[in-house]
Amino acid sequence: MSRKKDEYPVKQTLNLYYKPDRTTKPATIALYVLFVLTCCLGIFRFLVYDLWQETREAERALAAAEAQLEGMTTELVDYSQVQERYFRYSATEEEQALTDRMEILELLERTVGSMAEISSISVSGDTVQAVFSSVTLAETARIVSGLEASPVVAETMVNTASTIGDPGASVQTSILIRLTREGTEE
Amino acid sequence: MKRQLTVREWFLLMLLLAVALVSGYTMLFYLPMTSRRDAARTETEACYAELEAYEIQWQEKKRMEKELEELFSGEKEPVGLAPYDNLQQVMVELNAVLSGTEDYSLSFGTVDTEPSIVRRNISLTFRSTGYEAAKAILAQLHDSSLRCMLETVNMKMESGKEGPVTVDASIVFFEYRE
Repeated sequence: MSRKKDEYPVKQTLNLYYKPDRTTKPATIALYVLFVLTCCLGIFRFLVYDLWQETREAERALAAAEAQLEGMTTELVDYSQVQERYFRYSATEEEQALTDRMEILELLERTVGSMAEISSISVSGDTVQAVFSSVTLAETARIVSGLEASPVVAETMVNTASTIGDPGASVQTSILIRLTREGTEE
Repeated sequence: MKRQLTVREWFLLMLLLAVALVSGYTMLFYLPMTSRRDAARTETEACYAELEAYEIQWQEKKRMEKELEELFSGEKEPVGLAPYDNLQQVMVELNAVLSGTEDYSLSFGTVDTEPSIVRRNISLTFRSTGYEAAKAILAQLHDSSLRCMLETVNMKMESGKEGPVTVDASIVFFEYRE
């Protein structure tokens, strides 16, 4: 009877690294719990807290806007009365745009009437047409410069200047005055 | 009899739990909260738009108040617009002023009734004894207690300042309509 040679297990390497099982240790469990808690906290923050915060912010902004609106409404409670009073007493658009006609007559009287004899005055819109006589051409030039010195006058144009009878003496002059808009003499 | 759940059963149970959690979160928290937030944002925007309009109105009010204050702080109290329809008073006034002329003619134009301010256009022609008299009549119209504006003035002196003067003018009487 041949006996087979007995084979024994042979340890060829040496396991020096011993790893104790710590999976059920309180510290490991606490670590797991901490990890889960952190995850939950993150999820809670992104899914619940941020949204709730946004809503709160929006509602706070709304409350502020409503309070502002309420304040403004209180300020404007007498708006229609003020507007009515304003309409009644302030100058209308036309009054603001047109130069005071009496002021123009005063100006013509002062500058033209003192030297010449005015035969016609025509005031319409922002133009004045005046015809005068009994002045020389040199005096007409002085009248024109006097008119142009007024703040209500934008420009003056001499349309015609013709002698009446005696040449070199008095002329009949027609001038066109363009008035400044919204201008008033001070 | 108690039996252990299989892995498949556990998996399905977990899936069901996850679906229930997501649905619960969405239906009970996410949707109501976002709708509340969006409603608040929309209302805030509407509020600000309204506030912007009110702001313009407020500035307008301040401007009007300032102008009124300036008007009333002057020496001469401003003449206010008479309430519409003031034709009778206008005619009485014109009669009083133009009675000093040699002759006159009036032509009443259309009444322009723009909202709030009514414009009564009147063309008048009168003849006066002299330039000063004609000017005095124009001044009386100009300074009338009824708010008006001399629009066009045409004066023709027949023989200098002392001679008769023909005046052709257009005047606008302003009235206020509520």
